[in-house]
Amino acid sequence: MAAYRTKESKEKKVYHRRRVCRFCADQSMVINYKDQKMLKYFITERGKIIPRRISGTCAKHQRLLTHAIKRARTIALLPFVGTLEAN
Amino acid sequence: MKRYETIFIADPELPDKERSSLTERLNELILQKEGILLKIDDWGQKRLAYEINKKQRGHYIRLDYCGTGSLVDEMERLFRIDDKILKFMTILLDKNADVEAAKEELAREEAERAKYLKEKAEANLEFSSTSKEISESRAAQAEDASQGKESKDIPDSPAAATKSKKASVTKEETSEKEQ
Repeated sequence: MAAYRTKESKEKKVYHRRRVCRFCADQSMVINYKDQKMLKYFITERGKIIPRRISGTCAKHQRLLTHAIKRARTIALLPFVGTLEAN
Repeated sequence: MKRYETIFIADPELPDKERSSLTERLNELILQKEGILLKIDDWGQKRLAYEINKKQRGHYIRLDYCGTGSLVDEMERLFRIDDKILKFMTILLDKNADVEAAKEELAREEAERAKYLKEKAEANLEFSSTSKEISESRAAQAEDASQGKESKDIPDSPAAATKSKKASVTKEETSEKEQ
């Protein structure tokens, strides 16, 4: 699998680094919508949710994460648009 | 019985008295609807991520309780009427909540937190005392080194090489002591 991948990446000249899901790697990390410091790592400066292909989060945890971020947005812990500091 | 969690943002300019009366009213409502209030969590004033009713800050309060759907409906109706509440959100935590178990869990969490805080405080104390000792010993070393240098420099000052040697020796000493 790994060999196949490296071959493919050489052919296409795509640089990619397979990231591991941070929540799978560290079981003690819990996704909670009230923990805005943790959620901040998974949104862009503009407040968008960072996609899975970039952050490397696994499907299960990305699902929980988006849910948590959306909850945090409704209660004004995270912005819908814009940065946290600017407004 | 279901377990819910409601977070509401109160007006930051609301005086403490009115806020406490508000929470009291909510408590009464929960009792009236045969719910059980598990915890009131006052987060205090926080900066909002976006403006709500032209306000930059808000006072966050979290309620953790068990109850039925009608209780939530009633509570949210009150929140909508009250213009001192900027925003609210209710989340279903557990569909079939065991009240006793939840209470026990909360108590355990509380105890753990208290223990953690205590340990932290103790660790801090230890750390500060050790850091004090280290700084004291360092100061003493520095004094010794400077005295030694002066005393040695005054009688035979010709060779700069010996000076550098001395410096290196003192350095080694300090590093050893630090270790």
